[in-house]
Amino acid sequence: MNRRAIVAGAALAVVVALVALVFRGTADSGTTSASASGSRYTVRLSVDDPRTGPNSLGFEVTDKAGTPVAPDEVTVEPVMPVMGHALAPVTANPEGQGRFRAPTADLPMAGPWQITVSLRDASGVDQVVLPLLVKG
Amino acid sequence: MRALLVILCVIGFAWGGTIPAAADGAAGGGDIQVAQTLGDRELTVIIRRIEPVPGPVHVDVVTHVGSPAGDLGLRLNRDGGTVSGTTVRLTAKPGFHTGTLRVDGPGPWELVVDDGQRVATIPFVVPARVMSPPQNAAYGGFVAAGVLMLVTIAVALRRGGAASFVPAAGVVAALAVAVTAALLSSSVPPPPAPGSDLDPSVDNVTDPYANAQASTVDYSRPPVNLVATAVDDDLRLALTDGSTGRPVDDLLVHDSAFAHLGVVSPSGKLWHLHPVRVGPGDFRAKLVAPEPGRYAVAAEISRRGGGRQLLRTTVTLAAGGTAAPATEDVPLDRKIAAAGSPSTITARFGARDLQPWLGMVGHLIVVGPVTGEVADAPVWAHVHAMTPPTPELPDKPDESVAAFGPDVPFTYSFPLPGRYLVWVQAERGYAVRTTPAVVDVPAAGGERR
Repeated sequence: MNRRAIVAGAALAVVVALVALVFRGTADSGTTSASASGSRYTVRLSVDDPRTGPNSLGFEVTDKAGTPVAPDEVTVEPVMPVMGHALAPVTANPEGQGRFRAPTADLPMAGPWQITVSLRDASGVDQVVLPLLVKG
Repeated sequence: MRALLVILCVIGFAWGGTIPAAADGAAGGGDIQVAQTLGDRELTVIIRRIEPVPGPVHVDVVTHVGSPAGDLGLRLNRDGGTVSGTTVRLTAKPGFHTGTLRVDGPGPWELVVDDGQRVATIPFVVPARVMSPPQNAAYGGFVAAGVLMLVTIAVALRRGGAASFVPAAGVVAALAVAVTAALLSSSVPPPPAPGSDLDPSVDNVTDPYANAQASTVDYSRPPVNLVATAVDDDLRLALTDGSTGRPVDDLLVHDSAFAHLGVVSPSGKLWHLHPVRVGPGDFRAKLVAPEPGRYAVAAEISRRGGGRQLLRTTVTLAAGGTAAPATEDVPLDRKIAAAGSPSTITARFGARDLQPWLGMVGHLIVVGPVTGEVADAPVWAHVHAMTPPTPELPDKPDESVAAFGPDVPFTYSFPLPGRYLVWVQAERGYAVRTTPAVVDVPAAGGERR
């Protein structure tokens, strides 16, 4: 009886593993990140669970060699290309060590967005465009 | 035991037949052909199908007659950094020149083409080999069925009887999952393609199924504003989004180019160029005007999300040189119908040695009706003569195949009566041959001329 229970348990485990495998593709991923480089800076965007409404967009700015740097000003302009809708730019707050955060960027619709980041310093403005998929 | 044997046979049969067929359907890229007007050269850059990834990338650069010899730098950039580079020595003899580069992973890439004076960038996507969730389920199901089968046999031999029913039931369940998934996998729609539907990123190229259901249905984007200006020896096209005013940096390669630029001078000379991308929304092509005046400018583009559009504008140029585009006199057979009805113009090239240019045997550019200045003509058309199907060539033939013609027909319904300027273009001996003509289209109800 005991051994039979073990066998049944093993079979159940295999079936559960199988079901998990089938639904693996639909699991939620949590933090979304993307990175892109302009002529002088590399920017990494990370957003925890991007949803419609206010989102907190975090940016890590480095130079091309990968060292964290802080440009004078970092502004964020979200655009939803398929809707032809651009939002007013918001200025990201410096958090030190090349980290910046736009705490309440309002993304009013689910779907693919483009986050344009403008990095201003003494020698001009560098721009990078990052894709961000917002869920409903 | 006999039932078990039957099930084993079924599993073996399914492994041998169904699954590899499904796996072959995985996404993969083909060749990417991009025409580039880089300085004095009209180049066709062909990025050959990239497999495996990471792996080598073969890039063919096709030069045409009159293209100066020299070195061309090729670089592959990812995320702003150069991953590999090479130099291709272009000879004065037109034809194929090959360079080999390397990619280290799937995702968005840029091929940089540098002739020492101008730097063109060609964004493209290196696809990943991905399996759809049903394919994964089918694989997993068959593996689980196989494992459970061994368990069933072991239990049946050691304990026999009722105990073996438990793992046997698991075999049936796993098989049901696998077979259902295998049958479904062909009918599951593909996810939106990074690059042609979505802005590509490493994440969505590597796993296009991850967020497929969170996307919108219609991927098409707003129309584009075109402003043409003369900068040094170049015609500069500034492309901005018609809704947001932002630079348009999502052009797709269609008909082997990012933008097909037609320019017609006040006296009716045609340039058919393929501007290179020098920055977001900034495309340039060398054009030295032989005469001053207002030039007609038309660009055919296609944005990410689909749909082509024709952008028309004019630009006033000062004379900067004397060289006008070369023309030829190929006999044209004309069957011109009234406005609104199909007319056919057949170019008789005389020999079956035409090469496909931009994936087509021939191009017919139509501008008219011309009443005052050419730049004010209301109709602009670009008619194609397709390459006929060639059974011995399963892929679309490139310019190395000189086997088309001798007659190239174009059928077009001129929308308005009046006098049109038309140009027939086809490639022979790595030179694009342009034959200009004037066509008078009668009003509907009038007689044929």
